[in-house]
Amino acid sequence: MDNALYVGLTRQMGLRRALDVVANNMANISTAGFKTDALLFETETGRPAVSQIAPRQIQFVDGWAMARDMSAGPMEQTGAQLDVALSGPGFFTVQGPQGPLYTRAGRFALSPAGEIVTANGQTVLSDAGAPLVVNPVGGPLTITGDGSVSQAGVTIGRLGVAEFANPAALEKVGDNLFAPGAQAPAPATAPGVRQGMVEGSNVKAVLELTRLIEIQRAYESVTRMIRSEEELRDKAISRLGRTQG
Amino acid sequence: MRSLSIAASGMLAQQTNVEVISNNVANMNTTGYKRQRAEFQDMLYTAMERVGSASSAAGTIVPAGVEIGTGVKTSAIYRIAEQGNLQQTGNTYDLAINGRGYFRIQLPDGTDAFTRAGNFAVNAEGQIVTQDGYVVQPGITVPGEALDIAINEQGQVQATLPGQTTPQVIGQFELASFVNTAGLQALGDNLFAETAASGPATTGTPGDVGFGRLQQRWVESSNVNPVQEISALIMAQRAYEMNSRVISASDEMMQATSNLR
Repeated sequence: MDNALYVGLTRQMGLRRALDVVANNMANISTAGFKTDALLFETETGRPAVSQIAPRQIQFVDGWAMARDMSAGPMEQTGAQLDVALSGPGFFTVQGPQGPLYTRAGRFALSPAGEIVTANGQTVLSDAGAPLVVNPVGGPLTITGDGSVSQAGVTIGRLGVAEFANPAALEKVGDNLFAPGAQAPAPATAPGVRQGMVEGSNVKAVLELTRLIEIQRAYESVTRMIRSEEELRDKAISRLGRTQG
Repeated sequence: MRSLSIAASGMLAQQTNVEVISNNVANMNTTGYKRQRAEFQDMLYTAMERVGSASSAAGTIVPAGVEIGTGVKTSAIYRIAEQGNLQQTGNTYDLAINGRGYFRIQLPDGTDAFTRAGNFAVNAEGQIVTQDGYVVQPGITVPGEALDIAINEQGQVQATLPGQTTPQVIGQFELASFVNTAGLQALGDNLFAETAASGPATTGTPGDVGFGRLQQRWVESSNVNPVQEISALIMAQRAYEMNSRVISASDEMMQATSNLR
């Protein structure tokens, strides 16, 4: 009889976690290069709840997995010469403290040394793994579709654009960056670099709002179930008490 | 319940966004103003189930773990150094920079500041100064009896004096350029200061490679695009509302729990 309570409890905990994910998506609706997360629920098959009278196994909700929507976000034209977006599935390579990290947020700037850097000041790497150094008074920059950066007709280098076999399995580390995990990056065949554009967040407000309502209502119904379960127990105790007396 | 603080971070970010947009709109008619843009980044992730961890004794691994984010933060407020439209004014001391570069201005405390607002004037001593009376570097003094002042694209200042047929060169404007113009510190009054992020100023003559040309009797208007700002404002407002919706949803869920007895 306790099972209904505990099954309900696992569902409530899962829903709260799902709400955290939706809240994070919603909070990052204006974050460049952000990719939507979704929480998937599974029945916990490993540890079935024990039941004396039920004809079939009762299972808890557990063992979550994460689905990440890696589709491209809306492209926004900004006109800034160091704003770059990728129309292909690749990632820009950024120098992290422990090896390269990857991002789709192409809002770059120049460091005082003339290196192309991210908004946080991390160096953007070329396809050869070296920083791209720009002459501050050398005139405007041109970035072509294959990622080649040139200034006044002189090629400086090529933006390192990497692709992954399973981009959804990359690890998010915050600051719009992804860690490669166990996957090895491969150079992108068709990076599709677009200068003067920025990829927005791919969070779809309508989807998130409906998910929010779903979560809220599901939580309410589980709460109601727990309450009726409690009332049932209350009734059982009072009735059984009366028959004895 | 993290969702409350996550949604609060989202509301704060949108609030910053609206503040930046309103400052842009307020400075729509400010000479030489460069529009700003708020940049956001996602915050740290809590790994509930790490990517690539073993999911069974047979060596299978979790293809996509469970990482729950903790919200959003403002990473930078960029200044977009895009050229503003040039407007003809007919005023002798109005100078627009067509291209890269900043005028160097000496502040009353002796330090240098930089500006693109070239709506200059002449003070009582004949020096070319900003609207606040700060001397434009290198100090150029206009003779009081000059009939006409001509400033060419290369920044050469020529004065036509009474009784003379050929104009005399009385000074030369210089421009300063920075590696990272987004790293300049805004001082207000259309002025900027050099920082460690902007790098030191490189001085050059207008029209040189990497420097813009000067246009006398024109000013550079702000590069704020009202349509862009208003649509950004609408989006920021709606995003703010959606984040507040998340807060009310998690509030109602907590209420449902606390009503359980």
